[in-house]
Amino acid sequence: MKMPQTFALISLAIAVTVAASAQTGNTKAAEALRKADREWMAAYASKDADKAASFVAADGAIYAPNAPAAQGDAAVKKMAADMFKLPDVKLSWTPTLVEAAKSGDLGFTSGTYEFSFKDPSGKTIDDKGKYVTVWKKQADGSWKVVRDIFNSDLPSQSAQ
Amino acid sequence: MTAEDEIRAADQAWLEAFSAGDLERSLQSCTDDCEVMPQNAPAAKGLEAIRSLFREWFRPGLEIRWTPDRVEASGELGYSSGTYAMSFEDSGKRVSHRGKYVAVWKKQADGSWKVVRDISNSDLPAVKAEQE
Repeated sequence: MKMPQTFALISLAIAVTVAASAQTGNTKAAEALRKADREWMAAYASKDADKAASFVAADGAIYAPNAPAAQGDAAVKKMAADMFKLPDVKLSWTPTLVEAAKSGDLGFTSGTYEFSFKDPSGKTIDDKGKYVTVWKKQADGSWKVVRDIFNSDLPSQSAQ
Repeated sequence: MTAEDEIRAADQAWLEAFSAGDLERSLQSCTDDCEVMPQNAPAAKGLEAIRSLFREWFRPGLEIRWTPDRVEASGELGYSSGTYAMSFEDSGKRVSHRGKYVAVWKKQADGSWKVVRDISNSDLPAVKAEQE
């Protein structure tokens, strides 16, 4: 009875692969998006505000919770620089869905993030939540962020 | 009608369903695998979880309005992004919020546009939002 089981597993694997590729639109562009997303996270990890802001399009915006939108390069840079001033700040995110349009010039990443820093008393503040980032291919072939928005999973008292 | 116009129309139709407090019609704008991501709560993944979330939101006296300030599409994928304002009754008090949102839309086999991801957050400081 091994054969039918193996066959069923292979069929299932094919079905899953077909479903996944049907869902992703342009897989090559999606892979480029994943790469840009990882590089963007590395810029945050290195606490380089200029580099982090360079991933955002000139008309892009970051929508952080409990603050007005940061629109344009100067506002995005300031937001990153302010964050990097937090003691022992750590930010990482994991995309759970990456999709690009068939055209290969618009896409999005979406997933979960983890964020922590030390408050003035030295206590570690942990936050976790979710995000959506919309990316657009630029004239030079690079992918840049047009909209980035996130919010916390935690009740507001414990998140801030 | 361009894809952008179609998304604007779908966004407006979704708002109308929301404003009417029409749960079933509001859910029709979401794909089966849609995720709605409210602030200070886990994501609602899939239609059943979204149904529970919307049921919680659609309280008597809810007033909600959102305005897309940017809509872009490329073929079968697009997004709307903008600002929202909402208010509702809480223990006899009127509570108001305003903020921003992004919705990612995907064209379906039948030609309709549906939401795959919807996320929003408040413009107000965390404490102020609680007290307003």
